[in-house]
Amino acid sequence: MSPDWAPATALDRRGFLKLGAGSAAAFTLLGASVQLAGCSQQAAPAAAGFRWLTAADLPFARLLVAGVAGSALPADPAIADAALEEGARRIDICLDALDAPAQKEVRKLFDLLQWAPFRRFAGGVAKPWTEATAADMQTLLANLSASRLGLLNGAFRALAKIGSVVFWSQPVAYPLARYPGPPAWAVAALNA
Amino acid sequence: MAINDLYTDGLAKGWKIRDASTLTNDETLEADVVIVGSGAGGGTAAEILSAAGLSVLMLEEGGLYTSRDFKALDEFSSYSKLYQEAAGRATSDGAIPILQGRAVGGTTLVNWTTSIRTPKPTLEYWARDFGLKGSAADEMAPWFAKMEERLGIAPWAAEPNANNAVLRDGCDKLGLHWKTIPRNVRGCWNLGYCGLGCPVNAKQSMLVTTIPAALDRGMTLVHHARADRLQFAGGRVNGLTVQALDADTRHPTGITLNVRAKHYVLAGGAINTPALLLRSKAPDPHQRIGQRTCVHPVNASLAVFDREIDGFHGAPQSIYSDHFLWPEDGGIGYKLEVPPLQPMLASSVLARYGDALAQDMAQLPNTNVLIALMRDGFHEQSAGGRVRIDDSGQPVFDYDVHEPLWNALRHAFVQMAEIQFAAGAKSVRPAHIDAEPYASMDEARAAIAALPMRKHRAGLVTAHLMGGCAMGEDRQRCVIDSRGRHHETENLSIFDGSMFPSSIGANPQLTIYGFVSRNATALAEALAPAAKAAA
Ligand SMILES: Cc1cc2nc3c(=O)[nH]c(=O)nc-3n(C[C@H](O)[C@H](O)[C@H](O)COP(=O)(O)OP(=O)(O)OC[C@H]3O[C@@H](n4cnc5c(N)ncnc54)[C@H](O)[C@@H]3O)c2cc1C
Ligand code: SF4
Repeated sequence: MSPDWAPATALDRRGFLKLGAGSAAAFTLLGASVQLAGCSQQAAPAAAGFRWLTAADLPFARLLVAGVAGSALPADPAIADAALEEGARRIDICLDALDAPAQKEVRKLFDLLQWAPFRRFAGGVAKPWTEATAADMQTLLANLSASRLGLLNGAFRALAKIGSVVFWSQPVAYPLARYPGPPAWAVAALNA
Repeated sequence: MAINDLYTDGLAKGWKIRDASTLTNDETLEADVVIVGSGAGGGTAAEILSAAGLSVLMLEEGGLYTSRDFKALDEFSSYSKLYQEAAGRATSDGAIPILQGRAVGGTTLVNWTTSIRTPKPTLEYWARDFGLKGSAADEMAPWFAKMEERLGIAPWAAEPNANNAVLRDGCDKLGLHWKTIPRNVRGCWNLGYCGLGCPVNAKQSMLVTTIPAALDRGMTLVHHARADRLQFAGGRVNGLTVQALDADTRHPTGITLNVRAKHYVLAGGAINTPALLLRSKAPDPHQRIGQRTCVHPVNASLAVFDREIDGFHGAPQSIYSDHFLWPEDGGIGYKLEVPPLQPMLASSVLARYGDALAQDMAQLPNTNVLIALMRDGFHEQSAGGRVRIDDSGQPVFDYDVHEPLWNALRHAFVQMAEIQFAAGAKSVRPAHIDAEPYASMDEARAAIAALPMRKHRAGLVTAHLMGGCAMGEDRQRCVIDSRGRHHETENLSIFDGSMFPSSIGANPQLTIYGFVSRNATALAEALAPAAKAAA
């Protein structure tokens, strides 16, 4: 915990975030800033082959999987790529399945994270997501998690959770969790 | 060994099952009784009402999945298809992730089979504070016994898996209460994948028990069908509009079903039932609909052992402890249990990323997790949350956590660590963003005392949704009467987890089965003569 966490202070100084921790209104306010800045993907269509993620969301989504997977990401670049691609596809399935109220919140969060001032000041990431690395994603997650604003902690939890479930649910990750899969005798019996 | 697929056989003998996603024209459907939702409450009601000779129509917004769909035992596939919002549902601020089922069989399709009767003090509280009549422990006992018999509920006879044994052994060492869990299974293979749908029809969910019985009696089941709005007029419901959903069950196809029934039963579960009533502008003179929605807020403690725990295999829940459920000071108590530990579910509660998460996951086979389920809704400062609807009529669930509940959660972090160390844990870490693995109880106790107990920092989750349409004779506080009939509306009953005035203090399914079997029997007696006369 770092109560005097710098990026949030910077945000406070800029007058973006004066709301109490956990206030749902803060997202609305920040969402409005993003819309004013003309960056919202709210009206953008889903990327080709996807249901909900837009083309602009995709680099962020893949990087989220990479950042959360960390050293568990397979070393073989082709296998790693496939895991990231499958991760993004699973994120898309999960977000498409949310009810409208939750989708609105996730849209605001994704827009915010792609909005340069927020990414830089709250996330501590200088590069746009198209050029950033898994380490940059981890910097973002660290900053959101360390923030004294409940709202940003909530964003951290949401991102960590979705990144975790879409990676650790993939068979390619099972050996790293030393998870043998369902008991072999049962699989054999079920498919006999 | 080929597992008999009940539904393939049933369709061959003429079961009336329709997939609304394939409909190309609007239709009007009629029945004596329409039941919205096919989970614990809906399934139980369907069997009883159809056995009484009533024509029953059951609507389910999710899809129909049967044993053969569960053979892969794949977490992502099951969580994304069988759960509300693909298992991504949460309170409005995201602080409490919510697991709830959404398929034929409802949450019973994916629950963990723990089957415990309503605690006596809970029944007494509901009678005293909400005017719930005829529901004392001895009056309910025959209904619980009937459903235990119906669903094969009996204490788990096999050895608990090592994950559950930690709870038993830790409690034993410390002299704390523990008990073997009764499960609703017949011929269980002890696989541990109950949360993904049982591949061998061993779990006695509604999918394989009451719904087939009702289909045998001529019930019509329409899935991919979402109840959208009830029409209220003159103290009655006189219609229900239903949206057909597409194959993915996410979006309406534009086809509408107009349902007309003599009686309407809502069994969409807590959150969805209150939302349907709010969307339909149901009469609600005291603004009680959606209020007091309780969740048994759950926190968790992770322990690493130097022996194999393999919490991903074996019956997921077989031991519980009620030692801290009813504290002597009258404060908020909690029940202790364990969750199954397949990698996707385990990773979702860790709230870590990168190398730290990878290290946690590499310990999975040596990890035990205990969970504490808080008994919310019994105290003034823990009155549950509130379900409301947004502009488009979709549910939004606000849930605040106040000081007494945080104190109980902190208390549980300490007690869970004690039990884990007593059972031989090498290190223990509370599921909290600011916690580390602690190597001794002294270290854990000191650290837990200093953990900031705030939303998003302390990890919370729920799989138990209760309340929002409280049941009792006190019309100022309750939406339905003691038999589940809506106070303001002649032909409307609520038969699901939303009926409870507070949380239960035990896993909900048997309480739902018991109350619904009693209330649906009363309803059948009230309606059946009329149905027979009309026939
Ligand atoms: C992972 C998990 C494990 C659990 N383990 C246990 C356990 O071991 N023991 C226990 O006692 N309890 C357990 N529970 C909880 C228990 O299963 C539920 O409390 C119980 O099934 C709730 O019953 P219900 O009738 O209220 O609703 P549900 O069983 O949730 O059924 C409601 C159904 O209605 C449908 N529906 C909702 N809205 C509409 C609509 N508008 N139109 C049409 N259909 C609609 C839903 O899709 C759903 O299928 C568990 C829950 C989860 C998620
Ligand atoms: S543990 Fe038993 S009831 Fe649960 S999924 Fe396996 S066989 Fe079915």
